[in-house]
Amino acid sequence: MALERIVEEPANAANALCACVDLSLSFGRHRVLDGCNLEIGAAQVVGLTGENGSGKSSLVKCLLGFMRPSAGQVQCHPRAGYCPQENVLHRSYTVDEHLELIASLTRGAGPADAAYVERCVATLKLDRYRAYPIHKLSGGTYQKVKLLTALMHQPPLLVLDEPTDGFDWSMYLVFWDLLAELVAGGTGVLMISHLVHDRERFDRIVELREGRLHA
Amino acid sequence: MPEQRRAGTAWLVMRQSALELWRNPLGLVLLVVIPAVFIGMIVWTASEKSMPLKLFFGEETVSLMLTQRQIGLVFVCAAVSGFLAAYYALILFHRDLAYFRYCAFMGLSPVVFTAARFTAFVGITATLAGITTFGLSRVTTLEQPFSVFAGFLLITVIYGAYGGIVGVLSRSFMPALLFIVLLADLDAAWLQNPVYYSAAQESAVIQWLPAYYPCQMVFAGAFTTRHNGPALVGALIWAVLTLAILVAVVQLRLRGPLSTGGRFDA
Repeated sequence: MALERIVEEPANAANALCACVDLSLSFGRHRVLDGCNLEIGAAQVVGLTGENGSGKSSLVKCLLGFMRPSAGQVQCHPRAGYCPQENVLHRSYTVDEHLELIASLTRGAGPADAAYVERCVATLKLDRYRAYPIHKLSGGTYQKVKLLTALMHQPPLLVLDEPTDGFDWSMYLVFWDLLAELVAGGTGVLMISHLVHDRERFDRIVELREGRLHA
Repeated sequence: MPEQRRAGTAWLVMRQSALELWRNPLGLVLLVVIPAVFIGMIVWTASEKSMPLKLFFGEETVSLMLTQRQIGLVFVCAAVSGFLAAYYALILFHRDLAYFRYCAFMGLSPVVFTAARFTAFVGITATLAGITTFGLSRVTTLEQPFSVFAGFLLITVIYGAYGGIVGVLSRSFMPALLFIVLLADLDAAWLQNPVYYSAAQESAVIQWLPAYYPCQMVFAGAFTTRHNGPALVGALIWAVLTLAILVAVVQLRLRGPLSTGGRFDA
């Protein structure tokens, strides 16, 4: 009998902030995802791990609607906050210009709460970089801006793809404090990493291996 | 209230679009250097020998006797303004498109994005048309400067839209740039130009080139006192069609789900 089990139970999409049922994705003949079931509820921290190239980011993009799955059903909160793995921020803008634009977007609710954004800027120690062009930021600071972008509308669901890349130890701890505060307020979190430390911080960790999710 | 927020976001995107162009030093250098070099080369090398040029006023054909320098100047100015407009459109609609796809996910309306980018784009095309008209007026006498400006403006709009379309559809900057150089070179600089291609005006294919009608407008405005209404209509049709295609491809690229198998930053 295998020690690990394949996650097979259908997601209870009605109560979940994000769920997929029998999700499959193929690129030509290469099957990347094969019948994945996943569910993230309110105030849950779910870790998604797997080797490089195992399809973690593809799964997330299917969940968020950036990719069309080959089969299966996906349901996700429309106001999900997303910190992508890729460096997508605009190179010509300063941090402030970027934050001003993103804060103005309403996401079906309202613009970001300015006081909350200011608090996050202070917590993430981004104050001194506000006038910096984004292309001149260090890797860790760039990552903090991406994280703040995902957080600033206080979304009920956060999807974070390798969010701590480039963080020093103190910022890593600040990150978890920030996340704990959000989760205490009911935010659901899906965090993708090829290395999951601090397993006790997660409610659940699933591993993506050969296209399938293993608990 | 939502309309006010949309207007605020549109203003931000438009302001930041202008900043993107301002912060592109190469673009600013090209804006001055390319027209100066090309106009200078024609003034320096083209002969004063006269040759006929056919202008098409709808059903009526008028033959003008112009110097090779005059003909070369108009076609080179058309090619230069078309290329530069397409280059700036490439910056606006290709570079950092992944960022705006992310913004669309965060709630940026593709309509607001397109409208704001388009407004910034029209500002650039009007500037380019103004620079080209001014440059041309310094080296030859223009009968109707405003008609010349209108012709160059339509060239920049058509080529800008073409550059935007190529930019949105292309994954890489360099192939997109080469596509732009290819068409600008084939169109105004070569196939239409009787100085470099003696059979240019006998070939029906030139009427299908994007710069054909605006060039006819520019020649009529520069060297006659007549307005070329049919050319204006043809150029406007080209402008509307290319802009409509640009708006459509931008909408398709910004709205999810994205292409199967594509990377977010692709």
